[in-house]
Amino acid sequence: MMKSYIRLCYIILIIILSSCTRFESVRDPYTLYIHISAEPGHLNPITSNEAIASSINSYIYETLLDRDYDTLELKPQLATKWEISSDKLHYRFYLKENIYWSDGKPFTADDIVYSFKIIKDPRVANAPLKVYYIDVKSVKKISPYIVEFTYAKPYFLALEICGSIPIVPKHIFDDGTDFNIHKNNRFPIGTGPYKFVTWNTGKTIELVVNDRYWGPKPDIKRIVYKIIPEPNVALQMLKKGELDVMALRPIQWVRQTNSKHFQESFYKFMYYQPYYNYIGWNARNPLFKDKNVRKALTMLINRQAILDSLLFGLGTVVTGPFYIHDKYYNHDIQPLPYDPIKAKEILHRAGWSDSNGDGILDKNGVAFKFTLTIASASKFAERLATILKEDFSKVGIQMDINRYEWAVFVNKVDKRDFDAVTLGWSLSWEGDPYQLWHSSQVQAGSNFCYFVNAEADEIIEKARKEFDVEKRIKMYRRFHEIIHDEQPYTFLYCTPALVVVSKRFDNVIVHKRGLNYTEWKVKQ
Amino acid sequence: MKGYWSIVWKRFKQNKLAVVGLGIVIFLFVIALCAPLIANNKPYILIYKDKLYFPILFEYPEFSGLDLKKIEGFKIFPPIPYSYSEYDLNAIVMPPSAKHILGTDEQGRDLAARMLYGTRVSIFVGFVAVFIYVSIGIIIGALAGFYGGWVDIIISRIIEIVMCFPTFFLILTILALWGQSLLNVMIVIGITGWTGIARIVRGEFLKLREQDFVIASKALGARDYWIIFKHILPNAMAPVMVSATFGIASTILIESSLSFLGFGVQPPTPSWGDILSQSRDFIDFAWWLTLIPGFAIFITITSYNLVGEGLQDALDPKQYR
Amino acid sequence: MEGQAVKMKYYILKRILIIIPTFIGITCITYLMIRLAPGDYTSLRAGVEGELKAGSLSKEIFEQEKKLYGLDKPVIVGYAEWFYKTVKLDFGTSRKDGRKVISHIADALPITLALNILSIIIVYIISIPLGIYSSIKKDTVQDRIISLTLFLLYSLPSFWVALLLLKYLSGGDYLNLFPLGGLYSDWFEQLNLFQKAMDILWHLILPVVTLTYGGFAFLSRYTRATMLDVINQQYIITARAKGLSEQKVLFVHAFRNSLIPLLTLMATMLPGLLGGSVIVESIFSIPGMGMLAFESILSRDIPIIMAITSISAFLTLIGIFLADIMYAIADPRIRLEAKQ
Repeated sequence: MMKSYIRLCYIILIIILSSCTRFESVRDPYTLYIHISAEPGHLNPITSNEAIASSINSYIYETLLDRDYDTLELKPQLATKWEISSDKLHYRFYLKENIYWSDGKPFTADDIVYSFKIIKDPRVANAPLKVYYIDVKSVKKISPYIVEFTYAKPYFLALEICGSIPIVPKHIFDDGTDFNIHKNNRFPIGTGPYKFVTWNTGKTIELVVNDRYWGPKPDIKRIVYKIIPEPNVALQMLKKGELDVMALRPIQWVRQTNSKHFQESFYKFMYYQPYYNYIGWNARNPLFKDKNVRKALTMLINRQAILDSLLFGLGTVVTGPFYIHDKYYNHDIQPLPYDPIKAKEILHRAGWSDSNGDGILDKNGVAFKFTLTIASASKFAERLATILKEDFSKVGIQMDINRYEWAVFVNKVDKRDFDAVTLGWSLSWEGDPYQLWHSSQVQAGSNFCYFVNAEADEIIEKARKEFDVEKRIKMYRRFHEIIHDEQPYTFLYCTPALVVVSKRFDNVIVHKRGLNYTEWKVKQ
Repeated sequence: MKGYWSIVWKRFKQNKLAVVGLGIVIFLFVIALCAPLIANNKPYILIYKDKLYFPILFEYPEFSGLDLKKIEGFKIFPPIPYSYSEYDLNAIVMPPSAKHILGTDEQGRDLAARMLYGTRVSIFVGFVAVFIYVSIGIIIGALAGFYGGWVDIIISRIIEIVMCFPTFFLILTILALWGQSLLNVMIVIGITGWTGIARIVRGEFLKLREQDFVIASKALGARDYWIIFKHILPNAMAPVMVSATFGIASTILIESSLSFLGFGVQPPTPSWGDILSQSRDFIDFAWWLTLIPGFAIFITITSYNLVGEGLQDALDPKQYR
Repeated sequence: MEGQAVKMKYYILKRILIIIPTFIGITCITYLMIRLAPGDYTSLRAGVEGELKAGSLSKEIFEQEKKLYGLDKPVIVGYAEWFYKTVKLDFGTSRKDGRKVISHIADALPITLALNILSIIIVYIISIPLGIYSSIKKDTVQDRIISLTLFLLYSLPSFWVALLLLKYLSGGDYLNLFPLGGLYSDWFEQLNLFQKAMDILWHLILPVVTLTYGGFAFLSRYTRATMLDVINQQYIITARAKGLSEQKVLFVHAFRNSLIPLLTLMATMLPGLLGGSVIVESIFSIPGMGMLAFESILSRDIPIIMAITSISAFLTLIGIFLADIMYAIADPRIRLEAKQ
């Protein structure tokens, strides 16, 4: 009995092992395999808020205006030209007339009018977009190929806002079903160079060249986005040749992708995108009310050393609220140095000393104790926090760490329930500091560190109406100075994207805006 | 009762493996207690400018903020001269060497020091959580088994309700509500883990309360809680002890898993599961960050399980030795 | 005998009726907890982990979204609405992507079921013979070695083992025997039916190993213990005395009698069938019920959380019920109802 049982086990084992056929399929050279680390919920550009969805959608859907990959200036995409009224309130766009949705129906002004209507529809779950378009009063169809936006007040970003309105096909979405759960949210139809083919839940999203595309056809015929949550696994697949494009983490860039073989098979690109991370000090907390204290705290953080070790030097220390390669960024401002001795002096002058000998600074009976709130998902934040805790304790500041999962974390920040917080802001190519820094945004907006400064407010308001770029640059640079002086945040770094691309493609160029798959050529 | 347990101990001792397990458990306990004395960046003794100091025991204001390793003077450091949070950005992810016997992690913190302090988390969580849930389980199970009837029906339903809850979901939600901390992890494991014990105790009570000695006690007029705690419970303790021992092992595993997923103790408190989760980034070359904490968890759990096994065998009247 | 049967029927009926309020209790408490927990689905609309889109944190935005998702309604109303829909078997749509909850579960459930069923089968196939073997060779070297090995296996933390297996047995850094995770290969569509099945099996080997190795210990010892119990009982000794062959004695009588406790055990495993292990699934990139539950908790995706909780609660209740019935049938010494 035992013997026959064991024999049975052997047989099963053999069957299993023999089935391990390494079926190597012939790989189509015209297919591009891109790694994404999470699956988007859906691909509706109006209701989606996810970066991954917008990056996929950028090859499927188009907008009236697009940004040039090199100059970052607005240039026509679905529009041929535009006219702005002298009062800066009316924006008229002339549409290209030979554009078709990938299902064959023509693209007309009706689609734009419909998209605007849907954006404003209170039943649609796209609140961030609603807030973005809050000052667009109306969108009128002048003719099948002319559309006019009316803005509520003169605003230098109005052209961009109108020009980048997400456009969805009216004939697909205007069919009575709930827009939020429409079936085409998972089957997008656009006018762009690629059209959607299939979505294998949890595995891949596939696009194929759009034959009806109005522009030059890309060389790459198919794009397959592979969903691989585990970065180690993804790197293995990249090395095996099963992925062509992947964004690396700093440790992978520095330690795991340097072999000769790797250098021969892949390009490595490092480029910056509009982003910075920071530590935000809640100015409502009596500890952080005094800007000198905030300055001292910044000087207690060895930003360069942390960058060099935790992030392997991949990044730059930043000093202000703009993207470092933005025209508004004031490069004359030097970051506050790492100087713990001077910082201690500043704190002492601000009234902080260890009067009771317990090792912790105090003032008027209040000890310098606070909590840094971080989000679970960010390993960098955790490492930063533990280093800060150690460093601060050496000068007599007790910092505790509170780590929360993302949903709770956002909730805490929204409720302003924190002493200090560390986060990052993902910026747009051209932005306006209003939402983050204007005093009106302190309660209900994104100015959760309670930054209130009359001069800053004035600059922000004036700049919104300033259409002369040079004047605006001067204003924002002054704004940057004010922020630097006030230190509402300790600005940390702008970290670059670290992307590797397989060398089986030619013409892979890194523009200011990043990579553009449509211009790549497959090597013969 | 004393005679009973000494017999159990004698039988336990005969199981060599169980004794080894118990030895390891005691050893870990001692390490956990003495961690600050074994791994610390403050020396035991410091003679500075002709004055004698004991920095490891006292906080001296004249030394606040200073790195005592760099002071001129006679000093005796603990065997592992690092604290668990002391970082060194020039020595990140270093393999084991003379300077750091178990290597360093991604912030240059000494792994040996972190492992030693991690013992505290594991042991502490194990004991406190199990203590909580054993207490709850005993009380609830005893009430259900002893009184029976409606009490039993209601309590059994409550037991079922708690059992039905996806434990993990409960843990995450409670941690979200009350914040992530060591204490909350212990409480939450305690609140969710008592059902097994309750069912065991209830079963034992149902069996035992029909016994003669209970009926006799009742006849003599003894009060209920007296009967429960003095008579029945000691007899029901055997399976509870066994379950509790296995429970400690499983609690340590739960805590490691939670820390691995990022929901355990707050940084910078070291926990073995947390160290393992940080090691995922370096898994190809930093073998020490993966193998050492994993091995530690393994040995700890094995030891507790061995003790539990030994206890089970020693208590089982049906096992003929 | 008549009285026993009637009593049993009455007991069963009573238990079934009680399941309903218990179920309501569980789902109500779950809903309450989700609503009370800080943070809700709107938090995820603000941005991805670690990064917020500039300007996305705005009370106005949150208020609007809350209204749309019904999160501004009081808890009782919210629960009542959910209950009403669920009774009609409408589990709602996921907050994340608008797809029906049913289709999320239909995607994840077969995977988890496959993993669990495979695991259970393997655990049983290996543990029971091991247990029987150990009971025969009680207290010998073999018994001790088996005991120790299974024991050590039981104590290995599964996430550690998963990491090591993935690191050393797949992917090609060391050995390349197994895939790096996922459920099926890229060329899956081009395979025939048999090859497809084999491909999936190949991908499932490592996760199944991770899930099963710890289970051998318990079941084999349980089998060993019950076998020992039965072996030493009178009627077995009688059977032996009568001259029946050793094999027959063992596998016909002893095994058959240890079957009931084993079956009882299976009934309690019923709810476990649906629960995926979050850790194993995340390490091996398998989109099963564990990942679904975990992600839905983190994103406060209420319809999915409630659906998973109700299904799992329902099955657990049924499982406990069946286990108790079988236990009562097997051992009439345990009273079904305590006497007053």
